[in-house]
Amino acid sequence: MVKVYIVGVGLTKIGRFFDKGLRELFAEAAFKALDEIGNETVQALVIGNMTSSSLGEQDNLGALLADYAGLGKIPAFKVEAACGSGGVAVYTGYSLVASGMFDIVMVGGVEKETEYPTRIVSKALAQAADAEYELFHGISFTGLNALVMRMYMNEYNVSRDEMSIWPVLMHKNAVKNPYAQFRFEITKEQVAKSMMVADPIRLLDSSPIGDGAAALILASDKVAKKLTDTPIEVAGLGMATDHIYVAYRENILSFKATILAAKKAYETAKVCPKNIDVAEVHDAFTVLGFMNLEDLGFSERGKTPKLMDEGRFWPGDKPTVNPSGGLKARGHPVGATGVYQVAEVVMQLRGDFPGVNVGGDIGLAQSIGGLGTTVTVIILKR
Amino acid sequence: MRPARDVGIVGWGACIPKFRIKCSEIGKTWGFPPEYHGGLIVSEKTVANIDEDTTTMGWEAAKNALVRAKINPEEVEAIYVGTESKPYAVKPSITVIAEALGITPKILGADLEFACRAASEALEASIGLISSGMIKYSLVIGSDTAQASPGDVLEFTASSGAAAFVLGPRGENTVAYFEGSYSYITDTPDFWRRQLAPYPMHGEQFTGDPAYFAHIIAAAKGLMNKLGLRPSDFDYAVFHQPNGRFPLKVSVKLGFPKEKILPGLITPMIGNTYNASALIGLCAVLEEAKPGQRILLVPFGSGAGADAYSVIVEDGIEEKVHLAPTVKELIEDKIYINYTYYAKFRGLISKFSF
Amino acid sequence: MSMKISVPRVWREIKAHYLLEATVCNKCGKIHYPPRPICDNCGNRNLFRRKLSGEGEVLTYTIQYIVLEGYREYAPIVFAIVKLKEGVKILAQLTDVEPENVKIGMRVKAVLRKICEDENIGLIKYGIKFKPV
Repeated sequence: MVKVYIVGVGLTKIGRFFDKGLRELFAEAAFKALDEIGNETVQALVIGNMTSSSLGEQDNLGALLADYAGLGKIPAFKVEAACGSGGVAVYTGYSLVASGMFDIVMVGGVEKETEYPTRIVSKALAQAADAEYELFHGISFTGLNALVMRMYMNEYNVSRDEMSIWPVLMHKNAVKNPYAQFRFEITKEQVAKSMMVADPIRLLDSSPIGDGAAALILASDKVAKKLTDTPIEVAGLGMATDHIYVAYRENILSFKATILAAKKAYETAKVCPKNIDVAEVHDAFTVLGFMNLEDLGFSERGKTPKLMDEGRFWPGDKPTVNPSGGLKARGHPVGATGVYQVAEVVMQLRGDFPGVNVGGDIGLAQSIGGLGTTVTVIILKR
Repeated sequence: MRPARDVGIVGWGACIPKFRIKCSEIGKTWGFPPEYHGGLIVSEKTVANIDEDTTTMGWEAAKNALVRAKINPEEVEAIYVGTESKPYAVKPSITVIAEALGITPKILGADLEFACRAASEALEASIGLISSGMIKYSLVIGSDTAQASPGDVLEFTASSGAAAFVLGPRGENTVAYFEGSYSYITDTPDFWRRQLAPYPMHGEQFTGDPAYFAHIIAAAKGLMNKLGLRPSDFDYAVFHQPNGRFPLKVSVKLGFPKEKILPGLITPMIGNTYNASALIGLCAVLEEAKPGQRILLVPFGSGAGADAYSVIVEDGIEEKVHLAPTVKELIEDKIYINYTYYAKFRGLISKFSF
Repeated sequence: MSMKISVPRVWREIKAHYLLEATVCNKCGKIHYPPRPICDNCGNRNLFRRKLSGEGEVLTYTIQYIVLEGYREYAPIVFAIVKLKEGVKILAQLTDVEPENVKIGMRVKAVLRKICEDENIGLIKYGIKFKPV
């Protein structure tokens, strides 16, 4: 297989941009990424996106965006795996380059969520679950995660305030991140008093609804060095899926797909969890943040809230977790999030992330579609 | 009417929704004087939950009846629901109920309408089907989420509930049988709901003498005449109970003492459940009756008609009482709600596309 | 006027939603809900259909206040994962219970209830919910 490098990245700020649609958001990120490689021609485009169809009435997104961003009449397609679409887009883009089919591929992620009121956006996001057996009953995606959060707190005897360290740290990290949706600090008291969305999940346990786009340029080892002085290697990656009907799983407090994807990624990159300097993980809700660190092998089951409270995973620790602010505070433009994470880790390793920058040699990005249903784990090396 | 072969009750069951509103709360909301509803002798009424309707309550009552019947549900060959609050104006409720009971597709089934008497018509029809040997078991359901215009006096009583009976040929598994019946119908427009109208209209006082009393008395007397029985031959009498007062008054007119009425008089605690009204009363009586006792049952429906039945209790009834929740238990299991929740549950608040 | 609930979709799943019909592997006996055509335990494709008991206990639950389009009148909605006595876990709503009285381990049984309505002209969607025993 051909070695694959990331040679350019571009991000938009995440927020509620009523004046921008899918195409405007994507073009902004794509131009920034192209600028990093001197506007070299890309040969194919892979787009991660979840809701263009349900909220934007837009299918055939690959062609639309390739055309609008002036990428030419190149092969272009959309990949969809709910909130994990971005990670799967990177996985797909990697395959296109690793196979030797293309030398330069753009991987984009774009999401436009703020087109409708919350109850309608929530319905679109809930389509990540099993339509016939979960969404059928009217449960929102937050509701599904709340079932897991209660179980986690009950099983490991973790209190509300102990859980709150996650959003507190995420907001702290995001303050310096110019791309983040929320750039203010919060306290545990504020978390405990924030609006109840689906008991026990409160508003400040939840990633926000937001718009955004991210773009990466992937290149083969043949051309990577010509395009940049600081190529970052995609050293390992893994992807796995699990039963979409959450209640069918034997263990609800661990995502089998994360464990399998991580195993594959660690193996291909020939590293283990303790080698990771910086990680961006998929904390759509507080409980997911903790579970992910446990499934990725960074922490012990049920002990993560306490460890984090004691300073573990904060900037400077190994790994530093979500220096961007994570989905919680950087934001979660669903299908773009996985691409943001990879771009952020690239910048961490290059040393030019404009927020909390911890440097390091090896970084990891984990992206989840549905409630642990589709997971990608990507490991990058400087 | 007497069937060629005796037909009996194999199992019975009720569904009484958990939510209650006090009549005083309704009266206060609409500015009635506190004494206004006293004469109705109804203190509170059931309110179906937001996710309950005629179909779901009918299913629950039927499920309880099947548990008491102790038969394989697939042996049921006819199923009827009598209701005047169909969730769909056109589309049977009974197909949902039958499907959810797992007894489709080789079965007779229909939704019947004759105001509060439709389920009684289903009883008569089932007795005929079973007696003739065409079928073995029939499931008869009376179920209603009774409508009443907000502010109408009807609102003090119109409630929600269901009752169901598995009927079959008199034999080892029947716990009571029908000794005979007598039907009496005339065109008497005392109460109606027009096509597309959300709430019924009623003739207030006119619902009494020419309608309720005339028809129930004629049916009851007709039955007793035909069977050669007198009120003293009955241990219990259960009449349609639109409120607490009418059945007490009709029993006096027919010569039944109060103690024979009270065991089957349920409306004062739960309101008028329309098609389930007299039938829940019968369930309550079956839950305390002894083998050999005789029950007079007289459902009534506006428009108008009444059917009188003589029901004789048989051996084995006591063993079936606690196989499913009793009427008494269901009445006691309650949560009070205020008028705001009542209005929401009853769909009295118009939402606009949310 | 639009049709927001697909009639064929609801119709073809009726047995699973009204009767909790599962598929059971005739080799290893594993019960699958939702029904599936192949046993994920032993790979056997020879499965038969069986109705589940509908009796079980609450494994975890949530009280959902912020609801999806079409569910405001039902809010707050209690959702639970119920472990049936057959060992199968099911996601469904709890009904006839005040949210503050819901507890993990609470015994419940299945009842037929209305899930939602397609406004006031479309389909009424029925399904199983659980209520306290």
